[in-house]
Amino acid sequence: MAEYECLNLRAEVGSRRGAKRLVLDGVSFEVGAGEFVSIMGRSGVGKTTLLRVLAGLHEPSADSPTSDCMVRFSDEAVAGPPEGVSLVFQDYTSSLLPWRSVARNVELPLEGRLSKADRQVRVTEALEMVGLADRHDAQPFELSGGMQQRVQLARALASRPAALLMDEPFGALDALTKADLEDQLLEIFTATGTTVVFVTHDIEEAVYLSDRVLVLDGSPAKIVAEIPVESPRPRTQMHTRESPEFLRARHRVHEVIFGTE
Amino acid sequence: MLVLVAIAGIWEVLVRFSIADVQFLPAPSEIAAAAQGEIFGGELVGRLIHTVGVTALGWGIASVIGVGLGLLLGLSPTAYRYSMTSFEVTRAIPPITFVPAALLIFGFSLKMELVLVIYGGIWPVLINTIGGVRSIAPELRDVGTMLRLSTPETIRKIVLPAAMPSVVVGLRLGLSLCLVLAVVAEMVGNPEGLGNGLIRARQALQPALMFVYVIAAGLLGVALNAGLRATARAFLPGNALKDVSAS
Repeated sequence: MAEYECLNLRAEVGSRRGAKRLVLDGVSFEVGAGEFVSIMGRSGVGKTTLLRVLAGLHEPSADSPTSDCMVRFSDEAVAGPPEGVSLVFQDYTSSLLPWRSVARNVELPLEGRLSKADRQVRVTEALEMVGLADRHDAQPFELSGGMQQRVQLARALASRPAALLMDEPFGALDALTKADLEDQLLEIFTATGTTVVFVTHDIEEAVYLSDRVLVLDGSPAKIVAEIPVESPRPRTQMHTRESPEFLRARHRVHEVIFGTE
Repeated sequence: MLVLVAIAGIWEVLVRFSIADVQFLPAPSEIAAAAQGEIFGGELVGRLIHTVGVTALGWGIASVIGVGLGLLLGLSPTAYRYSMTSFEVTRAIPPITFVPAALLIFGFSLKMELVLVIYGGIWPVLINTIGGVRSIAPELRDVGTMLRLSTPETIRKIVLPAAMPSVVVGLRLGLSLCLVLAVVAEMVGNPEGLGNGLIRARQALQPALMFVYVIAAGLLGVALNAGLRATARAFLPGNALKDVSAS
């Protein structure tokens, strides 16, 4: 069953002067429910735009009435942020509310939807999932970058989303913190069964986390390759990264992006 | 504080021994004596209450208008595009130049004083609110959109708190400007308050009393600003507080 369906997607990005540039054209793919899919590509190729389209933050452009451009989430056309989808931004410092405590940040998506008691349960649950149960009352600026990103992840999880969209969430973190967070994300992915669409420019990260890696290339960009990763789950940093399945998939992604020597 | 005491001391010596022979310059001791008389037997307290009242009321109204209009202009690119040029031009006119016009329209009245105070007080609040709203990180706006917050919810939970440090700067600038305009209006228009006290003392050739009102207005400015800072500190948590106290 496909959770996300994307058919012949076109998207333009406006510049400051009002000129529009066609970034994505003819992007088609599906993401199954409970699947972990990464979107890879060089910087500026349109990965973030694609994710913003999936999140309902960026409108796809259908320039002709006969265009079959379509984006659907659980059988409904995406027009504005769909119910059941959470987005994790790369820049945690500007996406957490600095005037709210950690718990109050995580509580934000639940306000007005659940009772106070239910919200408390969800907040505790989400903070436990990311290993921050003891920093309940901390202010975001008191936390390290990795911890702030965990808070953002907890906020995204608090509403128990069907799909989690992540825009280079670990791109600004150091290698050790990144490895930690990757494993934590995999644990959460296994425990919750949520669908994940993960944008990254790190080949190793994409292969380590995903069931499939989609490579975006060209200008305007489309999906030029789709590489399945056969490594079994649960995955571990040491063993998975040395497994032949991992190496084969990594080799393939390299080939697609850099070409064969 | 020590510097102030030293200056008063030097001033006292200069005047008392006629080293600086300036007519109508009272010594600090004379001012203190006049102050005592004016506080306990005169009009100072009543005038002070009037000026504080008008300043606070005018500032309050100006702040509501300024924040409201600032939110609208900060959030709506269309409203911003169509009105910013006229606002820039209007803002460049010093509010005091409207005093004669206000006097003609409203006469020697409380209304004239209030209108002037409100008009002047709106600008700093308005400009700083617009700036604060427009500089909110796009990610923060996206967070609100992703959570499908309604516009009032977005304003209450995201836009206002994010813009608050900048709004508070505007509120503080506005408050000092409101006090200045209230005193000016009282000097030339509405015959009440500290400004009128100053003019009366001058006309009565009582320089010591005049300085009493100068000092009273100064202390009032300090007190109002301190009060606002304390309020901001009590209501703004964490990060916002740092920005406020740094400004």
